[in-house]
Amino acid sequence: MAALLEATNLEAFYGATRVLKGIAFEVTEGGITTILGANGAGKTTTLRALSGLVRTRGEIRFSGHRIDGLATEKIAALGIAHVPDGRGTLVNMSVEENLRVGAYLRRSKAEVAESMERVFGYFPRLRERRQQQAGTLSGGEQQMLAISRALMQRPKLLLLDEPSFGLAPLIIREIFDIMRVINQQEGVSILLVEQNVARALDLADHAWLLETGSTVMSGTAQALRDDAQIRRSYLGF
Amino acid sequence: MSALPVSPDEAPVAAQTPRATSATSWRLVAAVGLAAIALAVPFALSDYRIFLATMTLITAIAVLGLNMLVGYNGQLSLGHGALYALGAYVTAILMEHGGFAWWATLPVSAVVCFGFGLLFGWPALRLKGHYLALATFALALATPQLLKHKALEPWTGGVQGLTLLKPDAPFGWKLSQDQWLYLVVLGIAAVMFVAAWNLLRGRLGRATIAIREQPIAAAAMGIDVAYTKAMTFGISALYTGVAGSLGAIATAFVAPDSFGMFVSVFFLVGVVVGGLGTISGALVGAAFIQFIPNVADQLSKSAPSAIFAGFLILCMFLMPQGFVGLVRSARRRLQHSPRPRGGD
Amino acid sequence: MYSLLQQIASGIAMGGIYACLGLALVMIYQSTHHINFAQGEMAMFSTFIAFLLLKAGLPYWAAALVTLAFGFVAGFLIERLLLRPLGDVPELSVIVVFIGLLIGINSLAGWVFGHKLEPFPSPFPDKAFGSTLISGHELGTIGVVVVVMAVLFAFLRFTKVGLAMRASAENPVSSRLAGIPVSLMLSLGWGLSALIGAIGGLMVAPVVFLEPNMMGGVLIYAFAGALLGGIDNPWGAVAGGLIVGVVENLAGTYVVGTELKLTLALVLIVGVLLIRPSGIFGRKLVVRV
Repeated sequence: MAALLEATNLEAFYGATRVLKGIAFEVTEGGITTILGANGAGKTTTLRALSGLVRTRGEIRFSGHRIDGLATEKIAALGIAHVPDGRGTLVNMSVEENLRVGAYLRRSKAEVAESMERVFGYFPRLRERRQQQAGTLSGGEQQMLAISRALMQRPKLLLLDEPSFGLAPLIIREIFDIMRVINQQEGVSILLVEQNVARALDLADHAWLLETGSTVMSGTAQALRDDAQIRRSYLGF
Repeated sequence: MSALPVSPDEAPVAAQTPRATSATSWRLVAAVGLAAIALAVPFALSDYRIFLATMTLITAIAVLGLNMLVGYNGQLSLGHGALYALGAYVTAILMEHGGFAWWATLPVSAVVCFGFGLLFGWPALRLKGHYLALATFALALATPQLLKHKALEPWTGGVQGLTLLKPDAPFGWKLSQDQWLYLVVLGIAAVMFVAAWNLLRGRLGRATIAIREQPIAAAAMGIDVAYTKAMTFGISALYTGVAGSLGAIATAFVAPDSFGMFVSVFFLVGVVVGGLGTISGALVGAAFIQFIPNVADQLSKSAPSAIFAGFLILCMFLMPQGFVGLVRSARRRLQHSPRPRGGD
Repeated sequence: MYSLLQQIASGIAMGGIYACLGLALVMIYQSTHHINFAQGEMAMFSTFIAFLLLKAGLPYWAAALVTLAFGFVAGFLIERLLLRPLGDVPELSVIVVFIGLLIGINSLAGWVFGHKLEPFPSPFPDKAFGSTLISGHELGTIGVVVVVMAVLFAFLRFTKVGLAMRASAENPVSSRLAGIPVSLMLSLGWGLSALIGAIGGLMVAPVVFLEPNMMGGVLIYAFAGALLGGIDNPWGAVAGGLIVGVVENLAGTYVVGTELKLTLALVLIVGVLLIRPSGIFGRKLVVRV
């Protein structure tokens, strides 16, 4: 399968500190790829690097075009939607306004309305809370809102930063099920960064493992799940 | 907001390398050199220039006072001009109506201003950031109005103000008034700077800085935040107030309109240009606000303030951490020779 | 009683001007967490431009429109060319830059326009429908302020750009991820803020006469009003400005006379802040340690 996104020799810096030390990975088109690793491995930094939120060196190619060094807004306009860690909710705005912000780049009002309907279809709870102030939503609902806000962009690639963080298992399952649906029905490629390894491997096709800023392993999710030794030494179960 | 510079005494203790001791000896050389220049001034320059130097020293004391509050304690005051005025008027009134000798007014002024600072510092505890800035700014704006008020006129001399007698050198010493005054102020400034340095290195200083960085953690560690903040305000007020007294003596004149809002603003400018949270920066900042307006005047007769403003803005672009901040970061860059960064 | 009502009406009119300036201050504060100390001087400079245009023979409404456009562009450019390049510097250094702007614009105005006190015309008739309760200009000022608020509210609430500006102010990272050009929004916000400030300048000049230092007192009241209303709340800034206007006027007329009214008004404001440190309508900021 073709690679929608490829990173080669990607380094990322916070100030003078180098956090990513030249990693390489790719996201298959139409598939779900996951990046795993412990706290501090550099997973969130990787997504930030893809979105142009941190200083980088190395190459990032999206549909063949280089996007490293581009401004965040331009990268979003190319079709990459990033659901950041911490949800990034616009807490003082209503749920609906949050979604409208997500649709900023869209031109057609009709299509935006259609997208909103689709998103409410995935997450009926958001429709119920349409006019509610987003900051008063529960953690799970804010996660749903964050994903929906990203979907309003009609992205080709969805970047998800630890969507399971701080959520109850039932909600996590609900969200992950929807992500499978989104991937299959809308053809949105997904790059998922997760600490919850079991869920991630369950959902994804391919997996990459990060350890203190370097890629140490990659393979199909199936292979990682099945290999007991890898599971024990790298994934802890 | 970027981190505030740390005073030299907060530098990591681990640096007991030969480099550190050479830095200390450099500092000693600089201090001795500075002292030599300072003592040479009254005998090398004309009276007027000596007067300017005196005013610079006085301004430096005032700026140091403000820096203690803003730089070390993180409380923003836009009203230190009011404290400067308070000190000035205490001295003037005591000399004019109380027949005090000029030097006798200084301890009184110190006590009065310290008390005022404590009184002000206590409600200031409740106000943070911009709110405190507004409250102190209100004080600065109100000062000229209050000083001109009819009820206080018999004491303050109203709009006209009070004229004072400039002191002569004692014991018939062969010094002009300006020379004598310069040496007095130099002595007082030296004492006050050393006292500040000691204070800020000690318990109060460390508590003050802790509160600036993390007030809640500081309180959790047992620091009495209210006491420390009020004390810092008081001491800061004392310094600026004494500077005001010295200023009144040096200019031999006090009038309400010379204590307008811009005095407070200029003190803050002095603090930032010199370097927040530094003691040596006070001198640089004071020199800036004393001399750059003169330079600006020479560059443009019609809009000197615009030139001054240009200098200000340029300064903030070139050295946002102030002059001392610039020196420190330069020194740090020279000390830490570039090591190849691999596998961290 | 009647004269009390007159004073209150005057106070509201003046308060409307403080509200305008206060709103401009809060708009910038919300997106950048900086107080634009030079707001008053920018408004004053814009008003002088209007003065020149009027002297050149332009009708008032044309001059006003050009002035507002000038204010917008000036605000936009100051953000783009001066503040953006400054980058991430300590907060107090930014304050000093604003002080520099304040001094610089003030001095420039004095140099270009002179220091003479100039009378500035009001677009409103002297008499407000024959009433003696309130002057034509005062009523007109209140009307203008109401219209400005309404237009601004509608713009922020119902337009895409307004939504983008609000999002950029609240959460720049999320906004950029959604494709919003946040830095452009910031510059636009500055332009809008300067425009509103210019309106305040046009309204206050007929009252205090036009000269480079005319905004000094106004700004401090606008600032006080904004804080009183709660600096994170634009409509609170408006309410605060109105309250300050009324209090200032009543204090000046009935209590202490014009010399001390500044002092009294400020004492009252500080007093309120001591009781409610985040302002009357401000949100209590809960800080997570």
